[in-house]
Amino acid sequence: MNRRTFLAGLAAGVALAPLPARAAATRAPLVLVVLRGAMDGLSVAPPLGDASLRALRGGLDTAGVALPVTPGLGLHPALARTHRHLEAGALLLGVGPTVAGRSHFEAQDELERGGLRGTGWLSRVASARGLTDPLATVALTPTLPVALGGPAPALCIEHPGERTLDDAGIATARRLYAGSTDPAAQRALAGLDALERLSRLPAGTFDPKRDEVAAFRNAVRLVEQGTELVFLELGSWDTHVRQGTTDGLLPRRLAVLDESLDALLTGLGGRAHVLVLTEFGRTVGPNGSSGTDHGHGSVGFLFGPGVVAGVHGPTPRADVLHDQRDVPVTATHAQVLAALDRALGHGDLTGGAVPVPGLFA
Amino acid sequence: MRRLPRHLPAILVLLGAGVLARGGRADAPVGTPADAAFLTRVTYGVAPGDVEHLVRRGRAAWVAEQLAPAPDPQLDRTLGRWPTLGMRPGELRDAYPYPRGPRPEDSMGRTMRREARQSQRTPLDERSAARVARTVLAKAQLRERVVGFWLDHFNVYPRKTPAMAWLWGTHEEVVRAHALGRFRDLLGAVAHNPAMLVYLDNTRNAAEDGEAGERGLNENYARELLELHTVGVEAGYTQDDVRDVARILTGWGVVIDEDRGEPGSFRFRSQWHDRGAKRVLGVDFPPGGLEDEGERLLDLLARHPATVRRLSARLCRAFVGTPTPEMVGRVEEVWRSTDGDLTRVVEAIVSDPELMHGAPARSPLEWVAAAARAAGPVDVADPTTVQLLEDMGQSVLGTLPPTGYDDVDWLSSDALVRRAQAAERVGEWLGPTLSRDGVDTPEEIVARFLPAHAGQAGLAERIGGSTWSSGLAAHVISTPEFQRR
Repeated sequence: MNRRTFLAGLAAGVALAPLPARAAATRAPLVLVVLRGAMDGLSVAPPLGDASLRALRGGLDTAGVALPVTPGLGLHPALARTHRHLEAGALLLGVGPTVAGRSHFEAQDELERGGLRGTGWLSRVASARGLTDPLATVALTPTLPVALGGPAPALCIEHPGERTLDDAGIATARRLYAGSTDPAAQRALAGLDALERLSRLPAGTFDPKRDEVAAFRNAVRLVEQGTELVFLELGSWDTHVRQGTTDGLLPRRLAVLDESLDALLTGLGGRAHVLVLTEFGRTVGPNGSSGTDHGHGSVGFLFGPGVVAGVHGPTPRADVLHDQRDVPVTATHAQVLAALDRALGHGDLTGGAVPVPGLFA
Repeated sequence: MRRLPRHLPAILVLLGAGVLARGGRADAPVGTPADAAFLTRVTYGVAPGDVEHLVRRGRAAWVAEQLAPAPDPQLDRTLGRWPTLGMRPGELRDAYPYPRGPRPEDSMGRTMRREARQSQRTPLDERSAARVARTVLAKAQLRERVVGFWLDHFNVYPRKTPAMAWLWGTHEEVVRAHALGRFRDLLGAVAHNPAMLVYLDNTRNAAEDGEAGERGLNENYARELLELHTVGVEAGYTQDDVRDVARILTGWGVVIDEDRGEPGSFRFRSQWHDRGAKRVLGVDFPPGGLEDEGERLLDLLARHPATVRRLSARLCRAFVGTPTPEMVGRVEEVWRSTDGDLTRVVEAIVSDPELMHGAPARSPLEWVAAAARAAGPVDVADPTTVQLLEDMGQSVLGTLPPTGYDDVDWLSSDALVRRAQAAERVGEWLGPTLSRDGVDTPEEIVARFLPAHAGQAGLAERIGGSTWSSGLAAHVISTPEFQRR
């Protein structure tokens, strides 16, 4: 297919269907949420019975205030709504990168690439599902994430509710990019096309607010319109200073996460898979600034059709630490992604990573 | 005495270049698209007269002129608009205090407090506008590009804490002062920089079980010093290395109140320093060391082969986008043989035979600056431009993660759509100057804005369709060609 027929096809799409129709009802949409900055898993899901671990946690221990998940494990009280959703969702323990290099950027890269180099995992999912429409694969972020780097077309749009260009502007921009061999020109044309189709949707389809939660509400709107893969992110988890338990940097971020996940999960009503991961965990003990430094294993969440609810992975223990300071990784990011690939029929997209067992019925 | 020999080679080159460019004719020297492409790549954009100036000087002399410190009275007059640029950190802190105390009960009190908080950020707002001014107006364009590179490499987020409003300016000053000096000096100046020490929490880094009470190690700066500022993860350091770098840097902090010295200056707290033995990348640091062992550490990191390799590649990438391994190797060799003389390193990059390899994307700031330079330069240094750049995803002074904007994909579909939108406004800013100068046909607009593409078939036709200079300018800066340098 040359560029001209590609454009013609998209133009026809404008008239006939605002957004792509999903290929098969059995293939649920998938939302990947990356919590950037390394969320402290032990604060989020504190083991309740290990007195020596609680002693190591010192002033950061949240076991005393946690909501019960199992007799031995709690959930941070700022995640009350997530706690309710977990009745049908999976709480993953000991999730992290292969190597404890403890670099945010390396570990996020490894997470988003899913154990392979070159392309992002979500982009490979798009290819595996045969998605070619940029509106089928959307990142609600300011710049295209590593997870969507690759040949599969994807749209990166931070505020879908904002009309950024009028029809005349779109037509002019199209003319300026037409005929260029620059790969950026192809992306721009696809972006203009997607923008035009989004603008055809009824007013009020998207949440116009610019706050962090709005992106999660808009993810629901996109899925309702036919988008199949969505990438979301929340930042500011790098709590080196004044992390806090019920008051402080971390509980404030957890409150935002709770509201965001609730908006997403309630809106999706169980019809999509939602995977929440962070690049690594943090030190068991506090550092000298009432915060935590970079660790290894953290926690993740998985919701959606076929997911086996409950806690997956070993509960962290004071006598089984990595480097005497971190929660060990018992499931790498690639292994978690591999479990989704197997259950959702993507094939092997992680270079042979062994899927985490038991996540799907 | 020093002036004559220094200018002599420039005159010789000038004569040679003049003859070549004129091709024997007697009128003013004209440049080729290749000259314009060279300027597009190594500056923030080609302003009227730039190509002719380059051809008159010749490339080697032009590069030397661009990198040597020289007065720029016109730029200084513009910078005079922002009085906080010349104020010391303590003066800024006192002139723009942070409102404290309990939350006011009444709405008037809350409004006053909000205004006071906005006012407290005045030094950052003025710095942002001044940075745009320097980018667009500086005569030493190449020098300014290099300063911009190092400010991004040593990114400091100016909104980390309220104190950053009065600390951040010093960061720009020290990077500016050392950007073309020796890398070891630049690294050392940044390591003693209060803004960096606050940004990466080293002001809280104290010996475990030391005299600092409840405090202890904070590894944040130590880790980024290794991972981002110097050797990089490829060097294969371990968690023990990170920890010992943090221990070496215990006590490196900042003067906040006058009683310890000039506010906003570096302070070494010896009572917070870890005096035990340390080992970093196989090098031993014997017990009893104080601030001096930090200097030894910086010596080690600045000259480490992994640092030389990594930063040579990063600097090449900043100019070329995707440099060949051969080019990086040549630049690395210059870095090594000159002990990190950054002027020599930059000269090596811009005179490299593979300088024109690749097609680097323009960041939003580079894009606006190139447009403003092509049209005048037009002085667009004001809060509106700073906000426009913010909307396009670029904070002028620095971003939250310590990686800066390295490796950001500036040409995603969404970013390009936002550029097409911003282009209409930028076109309106530039229109009056272009009309005044009679630049109002598609051909003239292409010649001004895309001189490296002069003669490219179909370009003028593509950007046509508007009879206004502002519309034509908006079109030309929306072309795929203008998104790259």
